[in-house]
Amino acid sequence: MGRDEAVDVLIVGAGASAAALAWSLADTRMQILCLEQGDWVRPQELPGNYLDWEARHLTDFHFSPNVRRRPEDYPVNDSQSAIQVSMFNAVGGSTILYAAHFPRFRPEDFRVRSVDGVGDDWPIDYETLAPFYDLNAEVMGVSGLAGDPAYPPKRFPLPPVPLGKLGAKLAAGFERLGWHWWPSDSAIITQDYRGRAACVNAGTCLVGCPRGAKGSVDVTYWPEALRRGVRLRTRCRVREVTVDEQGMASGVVYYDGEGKEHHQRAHVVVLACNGIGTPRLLLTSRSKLFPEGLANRSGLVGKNLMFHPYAMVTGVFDEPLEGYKGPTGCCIMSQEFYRTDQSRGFARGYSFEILRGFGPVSTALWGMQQGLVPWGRNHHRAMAEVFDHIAGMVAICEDLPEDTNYVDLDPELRDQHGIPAPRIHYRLSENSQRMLAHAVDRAREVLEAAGARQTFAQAPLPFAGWHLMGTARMGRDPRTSVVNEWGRCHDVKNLFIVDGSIFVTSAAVNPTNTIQALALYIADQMKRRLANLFD
Amino acid sequence: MHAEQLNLDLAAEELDLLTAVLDALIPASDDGRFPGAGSLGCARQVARNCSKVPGLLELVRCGLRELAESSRARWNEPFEVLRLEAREQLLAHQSFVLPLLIQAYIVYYQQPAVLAALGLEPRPPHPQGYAMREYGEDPAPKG
Repeated sequence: MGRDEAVDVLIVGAGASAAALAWSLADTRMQILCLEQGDWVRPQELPGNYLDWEARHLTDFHFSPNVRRRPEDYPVNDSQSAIQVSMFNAVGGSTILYAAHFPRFRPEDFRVRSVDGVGDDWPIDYETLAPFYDLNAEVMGVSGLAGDPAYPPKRFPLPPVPLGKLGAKLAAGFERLGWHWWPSDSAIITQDYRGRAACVNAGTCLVGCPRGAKGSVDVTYWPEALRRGVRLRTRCRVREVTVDEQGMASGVVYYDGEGKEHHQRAHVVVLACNGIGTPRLLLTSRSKLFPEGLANRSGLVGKNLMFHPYAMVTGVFDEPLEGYKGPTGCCIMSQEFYRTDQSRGFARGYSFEILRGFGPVSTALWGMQQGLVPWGRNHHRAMAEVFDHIAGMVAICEDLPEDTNYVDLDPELRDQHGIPAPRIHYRLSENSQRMLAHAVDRAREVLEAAGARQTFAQAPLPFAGWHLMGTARMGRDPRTSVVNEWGRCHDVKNLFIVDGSIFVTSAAVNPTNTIQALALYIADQMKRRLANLFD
Repeated sequence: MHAEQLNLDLAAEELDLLTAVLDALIPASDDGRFPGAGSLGCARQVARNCSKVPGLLELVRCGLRELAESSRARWNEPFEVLRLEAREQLLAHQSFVLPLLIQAYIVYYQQPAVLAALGLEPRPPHPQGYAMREYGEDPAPKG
């Protein structure tokens, strides 16, 4: 095994949180190294440049690593989970494929226990993160409209994404019902910005943006971080975090692209491997001092896994909507049903996000699934009635932390390096099921108010485990949390976690903005405490 | 390697029959705007796609053999020369049709001629993208 020269800070993973942290820590001029199991995704190779772009969303750019099965992917046993795990392994991580819908948590999301008596309160609050949300908006390039009454004042460097015919139609539906709606906060640049070219509404966000208009961190944070001296090694898969006799992290063991094993030593180790990859790595890092997995004296590593259960409701309209144009997942959103209302029969709530329509391949497959588009002589007539006549919307439901939802190591399944695969134990709670049912009914109301002649619902969406949260939660008490209020592991004082694992609760919005704001906040705390970081 | 080998092994007569099946699943439109999937030349790509789904190409090949036999038994004619209605009747009972149809849609709806018939520009979405009105001419939320 090769022994690499020690670095000051070693970051594992190169996705949303890693990039933000590396960018921020670059100020310190410390030696910072990031190890990423994937590689750079070259813009010219992204599917949006080719006619088969929709087909590739079903194969090598599928959300699920189990379907995609690229060399850089590791398998996930999610066969016993109601929701399948989605992620992407590359420089940029899952931001390569995300929709870039970029809302913030609301202030009350940080004190769910106090407000509603469920879940737990966070050890930090909205006001603590607010400056880091602002900073993140500047670096990622966030488009949006100030003044949303659901939030404290927010600043946006760029104007909102276009609503298009589809968005305007759905907005009219919300207006008719008197329900809240607002243009989406989107990490998609609507004007040229910081050397990046503005979005051209190509509608391929979910298979990557060849133009770089979508704020994936390979085009936002990483170029600046690298210019400022951070080093990034790709095709390096970390097997375990090593510890010294004092129980401090001493580095990691990883395999390089040729399969050679290395020991990379470091004074500080930061895990940014997402809510599945991070507990997996902690659990594979067993030692005499940490027989149940690293930083797991609380027994909470892997526990309290939260996704966001999604409902998708699709409406068919008489008129064309030009739904193939525009940012796929960003249009308008509604938080009409965000807060707890006991009369609904469930705690907490959900957001609605209006999507666009589908491309031709997706329309045909969806139409087939719904029994709307037959094969044979009636095919073209039926296809003409749905193609460009459909609008999709999703409800993103707050998932509450539960002991019964967790990640552990699969006793048999392993990746190509022999590292145990993560195994997902997840069931939909009664609360989530009631929330999904409520959301489906309300979504139908919106679509019908907007003029839909038919609606179709799917809840939960199976391949919707995009948001991976809660598996190494943050808190002040080492008995009930894995990291402290600034991301440092209670049990290992030079080991930090900055991804969605540290979420205490999930809120009912996409988490990337909050993951990155947290990473920037943790980096800021590390910089402020450099003299006594391990005390 | 295995998938490519299977695809290369697809005999010419199997490709001809697959072409006829595709023309029955996605026939030309009555107004002539949309070509049939088989006539458009999708069979080879569909077969290649099938070879990448475990077991599918074998299912399709077995199905094609059964289809040829059924056609001769019922109509005393090869499937390829049957009228569309007769083809549909035979295909309605074949288990390979639905998984094949998924691959047929994937291939057919990325063809430039089909995109043009749908009213789209026959090109990939990038780099040109699509023109949209900027936000500001849209309805505004009341707040």
